[in-house]
Amino acid sequence: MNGGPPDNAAYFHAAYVLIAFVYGGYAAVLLRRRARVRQVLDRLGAPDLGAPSR
Amino acid sequence: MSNPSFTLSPPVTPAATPAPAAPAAVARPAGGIDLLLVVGLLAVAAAMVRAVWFTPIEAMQGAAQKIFYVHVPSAVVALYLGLPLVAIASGVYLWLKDDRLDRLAESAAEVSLVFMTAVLVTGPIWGKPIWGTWWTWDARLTLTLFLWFVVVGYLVLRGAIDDRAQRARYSAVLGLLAVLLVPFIHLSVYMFRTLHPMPVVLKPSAPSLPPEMTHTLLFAFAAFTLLFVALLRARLRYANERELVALAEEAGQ
Repeated sequence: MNGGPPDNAAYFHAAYVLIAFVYGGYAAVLLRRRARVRQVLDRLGAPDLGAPSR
Repeated sequence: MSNPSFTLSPPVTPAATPAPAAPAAVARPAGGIDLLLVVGLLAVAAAMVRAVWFTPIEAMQGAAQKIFYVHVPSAVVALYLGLPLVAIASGVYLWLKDDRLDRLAESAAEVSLVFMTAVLVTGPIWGKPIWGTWWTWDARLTLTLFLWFVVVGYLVLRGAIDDRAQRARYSAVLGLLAVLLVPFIHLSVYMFRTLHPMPVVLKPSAPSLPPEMTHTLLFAFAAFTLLFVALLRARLRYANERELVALAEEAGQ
């Protein structure tokens, strides 16, 4: 043993990748669910308040 | 500038029959790119970059200790912000019967579940190199897993009940009960023998961390809080739009 900190960087690399997957994945799922429900609202004729005005 | 709002009225009933309780009107939120969500994700990415490249490696635990900067803020935001918000919205819903509070509770529960999932994913990865085991059935870990299942149950319950008022009432009671586990989880490291370390930040005395680590942790707290707010807002907008569709379908029947 050389007295330095243990070499266990692979664990935190794995954790950070999984964190990105969990939060990024949920954000992507949320945006996709929202896009789907907005398509239904468009079909129903609800005006999109975010659309650029003419 | 005032935004025009589009609302769908509840179905019209003949005057001869008693009118059902009208759901609160729901305005259709604006679409387009969710800038707050983009900023929230970038803030968390920046916190991770700061933790990886601009924060010293802990001498005893090594680089695995950097999991701390995503594990602890995720836990704090879920347990001390998300779930109390579920409880408050649920409690006030039972009092005022306002559907917007029901949708807020539902949205906060789902986003909190994501944060708790992050906690339960990163905890074992940190535990393996430090404790020598992925998991141990001690009080804090077991209670956190149990709370995760309760929140899953809350969302499953919502999906299983069609009647809007009944669904809101039952889930509000469960939402209130779920948050009772939070103080037990916080105090579990004091009440039971556990491998999980004592709090280093949320405790009566000053944080027991070097300044560089404290600054990174505070930055991560801010970033994860911002991400929570952004995800909650996006989820709430989705809930409002889904409610509009449900009202329109009811009106069309």
